[in-house]
Amino acid sequence: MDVTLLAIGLGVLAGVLAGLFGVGGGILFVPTLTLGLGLTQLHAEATSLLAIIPTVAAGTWRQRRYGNVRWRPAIVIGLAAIGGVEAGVVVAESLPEAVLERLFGALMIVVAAQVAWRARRRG
Amino acid sequence: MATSLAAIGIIALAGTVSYGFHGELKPGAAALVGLPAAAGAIAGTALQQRLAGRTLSLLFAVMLAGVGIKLLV
Repeated sequence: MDVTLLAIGLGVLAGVLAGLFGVGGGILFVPTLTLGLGLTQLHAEATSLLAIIPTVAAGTWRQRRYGNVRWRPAIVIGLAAIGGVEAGVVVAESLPEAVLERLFGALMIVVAAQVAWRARRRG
Repeated sequence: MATSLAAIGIIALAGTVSYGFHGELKPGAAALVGLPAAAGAIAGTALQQRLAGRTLSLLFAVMLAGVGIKLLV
């Protein structure tokens, strides 16, 4: 029960931070699932993709009402990326857990630098 | 940004299906984190108009980098 409440709390927090700072949910969901719920890195990365779907669906639904979604480029980009996703899944499945964890850590540092860079430019 | 959100949805769906075939998904954990996050994201987007100052963004960047370094070492 405590773990359930912790996961819900971390989920809300991850959503707020994603909306507030314009970062993807996955970069926050993966550490939430590994550090909060004790999932392995591979399970967390796979599960975060499923967890992203309701967040993205809610966001897209709201933006669609304002006429901000261009469906054609969205579908073209999304479909074009599927090959890359498949390649990524194959690579992730083949890598040792420790390597996958380190690669994700490096990605988090890159995203941190991007957030800091945007904040600096906004001045 | 709205269009990229829709594209991310397609990518996430493709990844979910692929990982599902490999048996790596934990649907219960995804629902526990993903559904509250959807509500949180709506709140976060509304808060962005009032709060997203430079200092707050830099603090968030430090937090992300901190977790990243923890995973790296």
